[in-house]
Amino acid sequence: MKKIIIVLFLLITPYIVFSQEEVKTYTILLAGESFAEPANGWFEDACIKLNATPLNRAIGGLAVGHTANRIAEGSLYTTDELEQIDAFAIMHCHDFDVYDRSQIKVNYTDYVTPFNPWINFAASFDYIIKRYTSDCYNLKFNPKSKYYNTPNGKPAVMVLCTDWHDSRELYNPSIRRLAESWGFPIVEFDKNIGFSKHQLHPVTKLQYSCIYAFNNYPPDSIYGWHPIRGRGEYIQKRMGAIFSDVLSKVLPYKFNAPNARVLTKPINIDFGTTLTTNPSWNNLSDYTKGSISNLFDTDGVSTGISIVVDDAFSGESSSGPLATNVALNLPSTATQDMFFGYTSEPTGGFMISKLNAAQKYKLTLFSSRKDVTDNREISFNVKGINEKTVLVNASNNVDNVAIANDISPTTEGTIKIAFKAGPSNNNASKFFYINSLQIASGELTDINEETVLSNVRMFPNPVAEIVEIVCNEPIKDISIIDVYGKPIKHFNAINTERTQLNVGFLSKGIYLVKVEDNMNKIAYLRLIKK
Amino acid sequence: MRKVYSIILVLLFYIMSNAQTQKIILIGGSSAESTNGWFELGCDKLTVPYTNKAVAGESIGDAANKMFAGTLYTKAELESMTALVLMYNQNVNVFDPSLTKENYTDYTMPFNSLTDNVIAFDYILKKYTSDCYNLKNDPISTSYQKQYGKPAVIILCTNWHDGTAIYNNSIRLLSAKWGLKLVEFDKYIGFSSASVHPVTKQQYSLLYASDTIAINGVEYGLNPNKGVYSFIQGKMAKIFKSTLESILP
Repeated sequence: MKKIIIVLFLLITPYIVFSQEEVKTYTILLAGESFAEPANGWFEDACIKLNATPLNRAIGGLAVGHTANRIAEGSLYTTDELEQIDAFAIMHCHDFDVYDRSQIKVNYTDYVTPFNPWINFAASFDYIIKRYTSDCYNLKFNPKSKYYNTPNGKPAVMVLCTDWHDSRELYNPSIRRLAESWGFPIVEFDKNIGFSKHQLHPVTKLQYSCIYAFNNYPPDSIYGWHPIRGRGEYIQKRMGAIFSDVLSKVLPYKFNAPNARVLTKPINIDFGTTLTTNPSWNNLSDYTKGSISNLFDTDGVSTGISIVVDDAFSGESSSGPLATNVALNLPSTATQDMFFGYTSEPTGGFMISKLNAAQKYKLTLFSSRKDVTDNREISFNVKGINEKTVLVNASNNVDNVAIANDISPTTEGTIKIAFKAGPSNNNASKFFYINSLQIASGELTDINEETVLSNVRMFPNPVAEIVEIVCNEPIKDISIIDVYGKPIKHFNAINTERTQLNVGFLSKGIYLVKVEDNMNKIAYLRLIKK
Repeated sequence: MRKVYSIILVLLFYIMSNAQTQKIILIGGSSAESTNGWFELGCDKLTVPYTNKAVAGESIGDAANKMFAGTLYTKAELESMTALVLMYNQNVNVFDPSLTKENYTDYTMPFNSLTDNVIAFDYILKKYTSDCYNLKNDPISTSYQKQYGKPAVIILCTNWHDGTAIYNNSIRLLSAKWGLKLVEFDKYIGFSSASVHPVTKQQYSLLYASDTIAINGVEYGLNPNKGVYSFIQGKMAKIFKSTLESILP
């Protein structure tokens, strides 16, 4: 049995990398009329396949203009629903040209609402697309939204649909053109439904659509109008399969943002308008209200950590040095430009958010103004749970940085940085400068050769229950920490060079094991619990 | 004795799995390198092992030169490769039959990595296909004495958006000529260069990009935001996965 478990574990190990934080549920909004309303069932069936919550707002008898009017009056979706929607599908199939450019205005706000639902087909589609996209984008300004202060708000995912068969000669081609012009995926019911108006049914000698429809429109039409309703009906199941196939390509894989992950590589931020194009650098150019929602680390990997100017500076300048002697290996584009403040804006600052509350951080500021001789000292105040203020004179500075180390974020994961002229600043206008900033893990980056414990071995790894740790020096303490930096278990007063720990209580996953000896040297080991 | 038996069993498992492992290998530039995440996530969802050999800043010419030098993949990797995926996004023409030669051995190497885009693509397609076929003559290959050698599965990719029209159009022509599967990121990404964003009045691709490029005076996103936590990487992974699952045996 054990052998089987070992083999099974080895088989699945390469495939569990992304499984822990994935969000596997979706929410899909559908607007439409009688072909889409809940009595049909295809949308609800598809949502089950897609593991999605259906928000079916289709109502029989309504045209796309009605839907546009509902958006305009705020009744198609609530703010909370907007926050949750992963895709917005539209199935309004009245046989009119929905791509007529002569109806189109630049901004959705240029349209006069309410629309006449039976005339403004193209305008209504355009209004819905622009309004929904704008609503998504503007969540960046909503303090209650999870997209607040993100660079571009919520990504708007929209999907259009053809009629359920290919008889609509105005609507089907024009909805395709509309989808193409916006780059929206289109659910091609007509193409995949399994029959065509070009071939009559061999037995009935009628249009195929008639055998799957419960009525014709107008009554003497040769085509079926509404597909037979009900979730058990073949045609509804077929439509559900077509819809879910398209949406399965459209809906992105989702993960919870790595808000609280341990920062393992530093984050570099260049302030000013001369961009540092090296992908290991972030650029913040707007000195009044600039923000970056998802800072990259030096490997160019998203950290989920955000920064926002929460106290505006006076301006932006390129009066910094092109070369420095500091140890941060700063490129010239990161040193020559800067934000600055003076008597017009005597303070400036940032809020850094989505930090790991269990981690300590080290913030390193480079501040410099070339070709000046007076004292332009800056006060660099960093405040989380604890607070530190560091001073550095920016005047012709090429050698010094200001370091605020071991800063613990607030329990909400934030650190506030405030700048002002330092007490020794004797410039008449009290100029101060922020050229670049590095955010790093305080604890991990502080490790140097004197504090690293070497020759520590841990086995077996992966482990199910008992793990053995062996060191050349007597071990004092061992801590098990999860990937978010949260301490899970502490073993103290071990005082032996070899010890066994029972880790059977841990859930499956990856952990850090911190081993400390009596000389306070530390080793971090990666443990895989199976 | 039981321990020894277990160890032997595990060792046997590794030996067998290494011999039979099938891998997807990706080559490309900055929008493909491993810090992006779409390839790794897509392969993870396909439950197929992978190796990402993309290097930021490298062009198709660089890859062809590596192939010529024998450093793009090892013989063991060739043996185990399920598919070779090529993802480059410079807005250059990669299809011009008037420039290509009949045999990959006819080309003068090395290529100019900045300008020889057409012939570098042609070289890689022909040499990889030849390398696979010729495994039929390799007595230690699992394809030894098979009529077709090792089937060469090559997958091409458009850029992640449709702003790079020269590249996207020409990679479609190349894909059609060879009958190669194309990952149409541009078609399924959810926006088009034909419409600007209603609020920003700029190209949509800028919303999801970490840097920019100007094409015919219009600013587009160059490389997509990186990391599997970014929306655009999750979207690309889905497109990649759904394309490959339609062809992987």
